[in-house]
Amino acid sequence: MKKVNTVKSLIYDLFKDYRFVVAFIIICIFILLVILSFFSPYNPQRMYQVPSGLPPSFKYPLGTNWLGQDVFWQLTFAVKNSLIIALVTAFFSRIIAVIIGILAGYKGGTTDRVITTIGDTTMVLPFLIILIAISMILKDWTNNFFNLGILLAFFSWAWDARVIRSQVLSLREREFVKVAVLSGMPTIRIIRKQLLPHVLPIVFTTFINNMSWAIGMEITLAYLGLGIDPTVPTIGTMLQTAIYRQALFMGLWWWLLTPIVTAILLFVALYWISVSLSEYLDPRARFQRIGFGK
Amino acid sequence: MSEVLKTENLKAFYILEYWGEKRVIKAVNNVNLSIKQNEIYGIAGESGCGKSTLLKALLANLDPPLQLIDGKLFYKTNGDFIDVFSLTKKEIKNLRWSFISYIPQGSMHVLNPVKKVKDSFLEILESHIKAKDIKEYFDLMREHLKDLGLSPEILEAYPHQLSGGMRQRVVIALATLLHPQVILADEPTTALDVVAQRAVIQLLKDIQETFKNTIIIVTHDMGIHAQLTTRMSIMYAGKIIEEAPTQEIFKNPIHPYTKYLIQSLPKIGEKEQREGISGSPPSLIYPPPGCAFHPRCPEAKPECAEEEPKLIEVSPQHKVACFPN
Amino acid sequence: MEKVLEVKNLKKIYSIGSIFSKVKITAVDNVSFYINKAETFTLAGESGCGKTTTAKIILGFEEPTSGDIIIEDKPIQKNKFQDFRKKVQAVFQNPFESFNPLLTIDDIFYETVFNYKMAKNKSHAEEIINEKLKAVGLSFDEINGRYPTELSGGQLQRASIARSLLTNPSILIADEPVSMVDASLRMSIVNLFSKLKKETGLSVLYITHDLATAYYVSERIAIMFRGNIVEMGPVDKVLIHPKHPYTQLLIESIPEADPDKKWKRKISIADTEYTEYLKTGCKFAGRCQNVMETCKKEEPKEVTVDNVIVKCHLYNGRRA
Repeated sequence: MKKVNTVKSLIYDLFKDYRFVVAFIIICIFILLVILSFFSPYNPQRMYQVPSGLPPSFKYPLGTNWLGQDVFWQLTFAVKNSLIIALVTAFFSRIIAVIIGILAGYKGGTTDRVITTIGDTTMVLPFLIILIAISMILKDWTNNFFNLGILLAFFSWAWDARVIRSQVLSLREREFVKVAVLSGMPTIRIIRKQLLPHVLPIVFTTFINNMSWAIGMEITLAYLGLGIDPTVPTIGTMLQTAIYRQALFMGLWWWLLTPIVTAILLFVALYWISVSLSEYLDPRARFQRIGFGK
Repeated sequence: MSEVLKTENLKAFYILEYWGEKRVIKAVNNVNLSIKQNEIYGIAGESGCGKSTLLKALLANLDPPLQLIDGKLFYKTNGDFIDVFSLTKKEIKNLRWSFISYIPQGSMHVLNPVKKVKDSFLEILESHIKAKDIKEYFDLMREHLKDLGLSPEILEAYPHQLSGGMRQRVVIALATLLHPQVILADEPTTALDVVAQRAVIQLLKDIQETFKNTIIIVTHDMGIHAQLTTRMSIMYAGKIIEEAPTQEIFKNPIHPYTKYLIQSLPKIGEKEQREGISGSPPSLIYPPPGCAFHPRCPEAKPECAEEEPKLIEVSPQHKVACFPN
Repeated sequence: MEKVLEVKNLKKIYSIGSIFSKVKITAVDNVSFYINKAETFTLAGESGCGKTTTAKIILGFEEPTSGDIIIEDKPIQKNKFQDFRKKVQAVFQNPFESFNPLLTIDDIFYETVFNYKMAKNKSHAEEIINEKLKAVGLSFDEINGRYPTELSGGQLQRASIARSLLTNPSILIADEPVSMVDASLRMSIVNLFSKLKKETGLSVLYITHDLATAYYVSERIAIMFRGNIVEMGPVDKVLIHPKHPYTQLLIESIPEADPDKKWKRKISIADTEYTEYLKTGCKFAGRCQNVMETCKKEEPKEVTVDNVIVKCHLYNGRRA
């Protein structure tokens, strides 16, 4: 009963923020595109399925490209694939960040120092160069979205692990944690029940930020011709193919503009959701709200 | 003795809006004060009675969600009364530290933890006095500390290196740097142990005796009021319920709440059973009807729940808001 | 009388400072005391005297540099505190911080009951919780499903005490339990300790700097200064006829709620937290009214005068 109330009020409150509303609409549109991708009449990797080079019309809403593919249906797959990479990256890097951050913060001492050193090392590595190197050497391995996601996750857990660690460091000293110890709670339960709820808001907002970063990385790699097989549509590969095939030079502006506008909309939407969520979940505002509106 | 600060029917509420629902916290509800020069005025009351908000209002520090609902505040500078709420922000800012200054509850709220004490002092001096060079400022600082009996070495320390009691005295030195006419102290000794507390009270007394200014001190500790203040009032649920010279309050308390506050705390040497008052401090959002204290009052009568008693003078300088027996 | 808690020669040394200037502070210096069954014992002193550190060590949150803690005749071994947690519980200073603001209050009650296997099912657990709540004057409805922000400081502190009683402990460590509670509610909580002592034989280690409530509620008291116990004995003797100059200073400094009894003497306090810790000889020598030459050189030994243990050169050579 209580949980339903808070979810309803959460959504009601978030909708007061215009940023959240706009972002929400954009994300809904993207989700629609993802669903549509399952109904695509064309195989995205096949070429010359439709007449090439046609500008946007009623039959082809975003036009067709020079390779004889319908840009609209390409986009549905691109959005789906890019989001898959982003979700895999964000999911795994959050799990690593939370586990490591909490361990380092709660245990302290040598465990903390070892973990933090490892994390700091991954942060200072020139990851772009390493990503490029791995993509070149293990070309087939990185073609798989899942593998690419894991690789990207490896480079992005360290920062947020630090943030979580510092929060846990201060939480550890608070009296309710001492009371929890006196109540006989085993360490793992203390972490799950007492500490995690305080830490989760950060996890949510950094999840979304991480998604944005992953998409940006995917686009960068695709632009360099690395990572994903260029025939598989992602936002990055669509962009790369359009540039490589000189879409602008040929006057096929819709081919180039589609991935660019999509990328921009996606970044803005993700950013606005993360910002409005994190402002809403700010602990001070949260505590004032508990007990209100009963 | 002439007045230096007064309020008329001051009302300041916190207005909170969440989920379309409005909550109004009536922290300062129709307060009339008349503070004289050369006196130490105490305001006693427990947490949640509105006394900290009252100090904020006296400083004209009304930031949302705290809003001025009604009433006036006057300072007497250079012989005239000024209506403080009609001044511009800049004019109010000029008065701070020079006419009226504030000692907050936690000393770390005033001292910048990454700056040495002398730099905090310098900041205040530079914004109010134009001196020729830094040396003049430092001379001013050292002399002020000497006047207060504090060693000038503390200027070179960082706040966390000083003990709690010492920090609080530094904050007091800071507040009195420009010799203000009125000093507001909000629970200046709460986090301190007995000995440090005594040193802080001692300092405040010395300052008042030397500069002959006015100190308004807010604390729930009746012992401090007895040691320090010349006149005091008791606050409950946003209103003043009794006011009199300190001697009179302790010898002849009239309001049941005042009587309770004085008798409740144990003394060394006495082991008889003492009781707390039943119930808890009232909500400032939904205060009880009539007299706010009536649900907990051992002497409550039927009219106490219906009508709010007004603050009337029952003997020279002794005012109380309670229906007589 | 059986001893419920015994502390023997407890020492805790902290090193603070940076790589370039390390300073060793002896926060707890050779502290020994004991508490009997159904006795309230006060550990009093200024902030920074070591009383909270001692409490942390007894509760197992800090490890001592040396010394023993003995609970009901069994010494606590390193890292085996869980065995003793049932018998030793605590109540802390800030009632609002003692409960996780994101969880309901009854949550930690159920946790305690089930973790220590005090009940087999939920209804049995509720019975036990209800019993303890009644003992502190709270009703089940007042805490059921409520968040900490919905209750007042006084109610929360009572809930804290109720939670600590769930395991039927032999001793309750109360660290400044009423300093953050309103004056009008303070006495009811202090009276609660006396009531629990009479009804269940609970011992309380009462840590405070408020000597008036200490006098009211405890039988014996130890005064701590900068890590040492300087005076210890029955409350009547120590607080009414204090022997150590520091105890005298403490008692004199309590502001009396009587405008005719004002302080006459002026006092001085330490400038920084650590200067007094690093002195040789008696640490109080810098502020002591009765200071002598030996005080600055030699640390005073413990002597027993009139059933009170004092650590002061003034009493050297005197035997009770």
